[in-house]
Amino acid sequence: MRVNNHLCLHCGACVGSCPANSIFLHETAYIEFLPICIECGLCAIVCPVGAISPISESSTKSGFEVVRGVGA
Amino acid sequence: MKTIETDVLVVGAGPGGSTAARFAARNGARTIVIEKRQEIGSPVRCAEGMGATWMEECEVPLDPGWVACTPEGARIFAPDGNFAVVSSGHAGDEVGLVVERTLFDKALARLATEAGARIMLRTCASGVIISNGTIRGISGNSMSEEIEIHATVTIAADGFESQVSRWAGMDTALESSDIISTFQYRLCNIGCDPAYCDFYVGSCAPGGYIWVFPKGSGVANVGIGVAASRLHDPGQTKAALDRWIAGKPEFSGGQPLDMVAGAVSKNKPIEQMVSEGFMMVGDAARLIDPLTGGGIVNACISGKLAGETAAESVKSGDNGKIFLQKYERAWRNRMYKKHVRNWKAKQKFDALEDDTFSKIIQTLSEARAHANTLSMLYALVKKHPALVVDFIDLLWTKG
Repeated sequence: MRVNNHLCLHCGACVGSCPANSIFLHETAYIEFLPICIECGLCAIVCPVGAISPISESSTKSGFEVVRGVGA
Repeated sequence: MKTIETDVLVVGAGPGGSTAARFAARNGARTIVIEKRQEIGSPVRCAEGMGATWMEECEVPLDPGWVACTPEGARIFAPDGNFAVVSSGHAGDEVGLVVERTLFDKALARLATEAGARIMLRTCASGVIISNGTIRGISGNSMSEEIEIHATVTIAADGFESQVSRWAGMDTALESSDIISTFQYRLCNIGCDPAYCDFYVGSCAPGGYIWVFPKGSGVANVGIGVAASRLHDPGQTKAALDRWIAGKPEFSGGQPLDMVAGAVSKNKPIEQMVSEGFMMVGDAARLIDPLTGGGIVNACISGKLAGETAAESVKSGDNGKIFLQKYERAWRNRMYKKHVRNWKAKQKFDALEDDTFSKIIQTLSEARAHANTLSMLYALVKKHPALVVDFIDLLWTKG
């Protein structure tokens, strides 16, 4: 999954919803997806502002950044 | 790496964490609260409405400094535009105060420090320390320094994110139907009645509601909560609120002072809230009221109960799960019934169609002259007996 940092409000909705506990919110700067992410997509639906989308979609849209997990 | 030793460690300085720290410290435990943000109470992730009936129990003095507005009741608007009024007297746990969370949270933290607790800001847990099956504190980062904080009892108060509990092996996973995605503007320059907290139910907010909580001077928190199970497209939550606001003439001159996003749990009570050396409180323990979405009151009450048990545990030298279950039992005695009842009610409300909502609210609004639960129920039975059958089991389990 990846985060559009121009949209993300760092609210933590995705963090608490993630069934794999794979998302970490570094307050209040950025969201990190850990390698244990299971790509279920619940975070993208829960995100109130639509800032999260699967990495497989086009990442050429302005503002999107690929977010690496710890150690990547 | 730096190591700090303490009796009780609280992770998160929201209302639940500060209250837990306060009651642990007051009862003699060396207590540290860590907060990953640089400021307690900010940024706000809350609609800021709550009742006042719990404050005596938690020994929180009402301070005009953090009260923004004191609405006399709530109005519940049906999809057809009719509304029913519920006075604060009949919904005292839920409405009566609109607060400034940036100041409210600081006031609760201050009370914790007066009891002897120590606060560490910009200190973020990234894991728990487990030794022989017992939670012994957290590892993390404090102002760029790697640290370990060792504690006899660790209390997770990290809010909806609820990560500390999961690191500790607790099950706080949620079904998508039990997650509400929320978005709110603080709108200024709008027409809103400071006497009421307004709720709009029905298809405008599937599985949740839209709220307008007055903050005085033509300012209100205007927000939406939608069940994740009813969402399909990214950003749908904010888009639904934008669409609703655009259709309200009284908000046409409104401008946003801030934006707040977040999520709310509305689950059945979870099975376990303690383990060896470990407890969880408030939103982190998934204790948000499943019907109203209110989290502050349950956080403070559970925080008080957990803080008291934590201090007793330190004194007795027993931080085992069996000892800490004293907190679990106290919470169950105090809040379990209501939580279950409201979860059941939520399940029923989720399934209602717009015209059913309208019928119920029409009936309630007609019974308004003598608005109490019984007269409202009587009016409902008379007019819509079939509906009442659906809700009757809830009325018998009033907690």
